[in-house]
Amino acid sequence: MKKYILYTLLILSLIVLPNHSKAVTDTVDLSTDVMEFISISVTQNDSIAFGNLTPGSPLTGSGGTRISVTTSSQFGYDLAISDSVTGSNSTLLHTNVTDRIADYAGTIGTPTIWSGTGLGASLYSGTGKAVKWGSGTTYNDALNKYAGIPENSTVIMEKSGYLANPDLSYIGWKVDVPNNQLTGSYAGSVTLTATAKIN
Amino acid sequence: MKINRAKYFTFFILLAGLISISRAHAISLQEVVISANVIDYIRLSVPENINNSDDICQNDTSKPWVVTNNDSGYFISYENIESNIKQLSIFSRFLSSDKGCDNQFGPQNNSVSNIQITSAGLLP
Repeated sequence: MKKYILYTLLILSLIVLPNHSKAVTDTVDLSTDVMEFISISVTQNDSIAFGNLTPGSPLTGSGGTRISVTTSSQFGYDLAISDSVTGSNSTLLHTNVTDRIADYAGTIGTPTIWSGTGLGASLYSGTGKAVKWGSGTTYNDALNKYAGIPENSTVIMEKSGYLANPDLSYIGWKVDVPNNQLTGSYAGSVTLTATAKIN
Repeated sequence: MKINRAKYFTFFILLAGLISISRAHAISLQEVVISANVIDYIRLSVPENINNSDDICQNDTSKPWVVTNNDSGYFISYENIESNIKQLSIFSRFLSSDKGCDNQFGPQNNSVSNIQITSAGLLP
């Protein structure tokens, strides 16, 4: 008799127990808004030392400046340049803290093939390079077109669309002075700005 | 609670503007340092024929004898090859395009001389 009772309990437990482990489900909703991120870094030639400059013999330094921009913007970014120096003067200031080397006459709106004197910059390579910068492909290419560096931040390249990887651009520099430029050492700095596009 | 719709609307527009501005300023900056050393330059360009004292004056800025960027000035010397007389004229100042007239410089009136002229920047 005990044996039958035991078998019965066993069978009942097999039938009933699965009902005790009945599963229930629910969901957790997850969301996030990825904010815009942008960073710029000069990964090559963040210091341009032209060396000795003889009036009438322009110099281009020893290489171009490589700029790397990383952004999460889905619309791309703008790359701009400025020197915070008013008027037609460039950032290159004499050690007497008075005399400056002038800006090159070409403008960012209309860069020109090098002709004349001053400090100029040329965007000679970049995924968003505009035709106006000339057909040069190296930092000292004679086909590069140059512009003086403005006081306020001015866009030199517009890059559209999402960029999964760092975007590289290259700037070449050139300087020459008239034969009445005061002899001596000149130095200064130029600011590059990357701004994420929001639409 | 009574809501002033105009104020509410203005607040909303300002808030939207602030959000827009903060998003537009997602920027990153980097500096490039540039330097150059302008070295001494001097050019001497004299008339081939000097006929009178006016010719030896550098008062015509369109035809300067000497152009230099030397901030210590320069000197001009000449040697009368026939008489071996040397004279020296010094301009001890920075003149991008000298227009001075040195009375001691040049041949004597009514004489014909073959002179050799030299110019050089001065050391500081």
